[in-house]
Amino acid sequence: MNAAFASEWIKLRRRGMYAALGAIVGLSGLITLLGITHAGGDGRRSFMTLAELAASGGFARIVQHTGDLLKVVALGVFASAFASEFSQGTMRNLLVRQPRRLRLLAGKYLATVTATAGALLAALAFSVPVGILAAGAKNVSTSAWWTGSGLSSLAHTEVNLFLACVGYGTIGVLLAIVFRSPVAAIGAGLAYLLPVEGILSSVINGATRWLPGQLLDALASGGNGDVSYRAAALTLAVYGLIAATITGLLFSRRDVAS
Amino acid sequence: MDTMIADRPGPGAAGAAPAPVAVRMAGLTKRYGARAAVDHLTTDVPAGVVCGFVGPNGAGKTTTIRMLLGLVRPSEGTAEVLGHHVSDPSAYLDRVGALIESPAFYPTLSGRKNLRVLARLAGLPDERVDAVLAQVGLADRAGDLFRSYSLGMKQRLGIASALLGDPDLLILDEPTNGLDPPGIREVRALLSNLAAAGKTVLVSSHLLDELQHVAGHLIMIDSGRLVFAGPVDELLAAQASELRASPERAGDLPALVELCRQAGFRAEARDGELRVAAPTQWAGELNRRSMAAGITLTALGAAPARLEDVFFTLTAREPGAPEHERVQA
Repeated sequence: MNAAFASEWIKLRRRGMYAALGAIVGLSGLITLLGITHAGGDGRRSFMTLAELAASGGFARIVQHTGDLLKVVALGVFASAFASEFSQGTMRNLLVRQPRRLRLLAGKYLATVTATAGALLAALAFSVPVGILAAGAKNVSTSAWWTGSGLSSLAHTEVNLFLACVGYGTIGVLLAIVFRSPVAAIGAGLAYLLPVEGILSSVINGATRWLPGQLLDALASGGNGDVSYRAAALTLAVYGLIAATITGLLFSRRDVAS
Repeated sequence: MDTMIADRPGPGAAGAAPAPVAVRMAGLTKRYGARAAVDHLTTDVPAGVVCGFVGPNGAGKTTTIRMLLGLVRPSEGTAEVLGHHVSDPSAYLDRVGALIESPAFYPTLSGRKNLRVLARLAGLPDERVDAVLAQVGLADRAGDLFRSYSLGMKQRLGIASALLGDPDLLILDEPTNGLDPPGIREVRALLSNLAAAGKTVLVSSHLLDELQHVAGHLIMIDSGRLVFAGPVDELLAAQASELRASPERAGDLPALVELCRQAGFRAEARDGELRVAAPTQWAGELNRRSMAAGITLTALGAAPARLEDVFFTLTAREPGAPEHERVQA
């Protein structure tokens, strides 16, 4: 598994991935900037009041808004990392070098998970100075952000975002192994997680308590009115186990003929 | 009964022991629905030889190779590679190098980094990457992106990846695709050197004349079934070569043709000479029979059988085409 992890990181360090990272970081900074500059505006356009922004959890709430972008990116990155090995024909090379398929799968997955953690930290590192400058421009004090309570909120938000991104990514991996095509995997993932789940959750009572996408959203926001953080985490752990089992079985048993 | 090689051959492995076998297939079958891509293939690949693996497009060569590499599960039958069953590829793949179909790599990584991905995965040192890149003549372009490579360079990189682990068994699927004549010659030399070093090479190719130069053993399949397996020389010797003869008097040509047909050979008059599909050894007999019939020959010669001709003969699909099935003893 260590070898598969190290091998995957050679691919993750390619130029195109750095460009994608730059885009993620830049867009996260933009969301932070827009969130802060629109704080205190009229209710329709504002994320929060200026008082909420200046509170200890103010910056964490702004960071939380980057989650919608990061989760979708995670789905795409995970799905692409796995499905493109089939569509490019490189999976056969990897399997000749590492015939223990579950080790290869686990190594690739963990490498992509660590890359996701790195991308989130990079996005946060860029959002901090952007947030401070934007808050300063609005004459909002940021001193509460760096108190123990503020840092704790930020850490919790970042961990929850990370877990939600890994959840979206895990769905991406499952779809990649099923479809073996990046376009099909990403398309199916986005179609399910965005419109389909949105419709289901609005027409089925209580669906937000068991639909995986809704649960991941609840996890990212630390729990919501429909489902608690703990319930979301436990249900998602079960889903994760099921997804890992299906993915592992499919990956280890299906022929690689492409 | 042949023996299977399970480990690298030692210096004392020779002697009266039977020839070791690198790959053994027994009733190996792969079905996709009702269609059998590989149909009860039973044959061996002897160790330490270059073994040609030929057949028309769709004959089942690549599917067979995929089964040997553990990528595709057999529907029926068994195979052993270097003494290990194909159901446990991790037991032998560290001693196998493979190039399957067209070389597939990451387009936005350099040739060197592409090989490093595989080397890291197999636990091989980076020095092996530079060594094999030099071996296939890609050292100067190793830092360029794979997508900028020509077809021939991509093929060389594929061969380099197969050589990474210094394998005992090399499985190459169409390794000369896209190579220019010097490149083809280099691959031929490479294969010969590998065989001389005691490696086993199973190579599929459509360049049968090239294969004839380098392969000592041949497996020929068609529609998933074994058509021939055995030494190339034996196959060629068993095939009718073309004898050509010119009578002193052109008017004797029809009689000469008839004389050959009576002996049971296909014969025709073409371009003022006799052409008869007969073994080289029959030339003397032809000379004697001509003399007995009062025909003087001014020229008599034989064109040796070519693997390409044999291939077309053995894989002929016309109705009523003779079945030349011959299974290795």
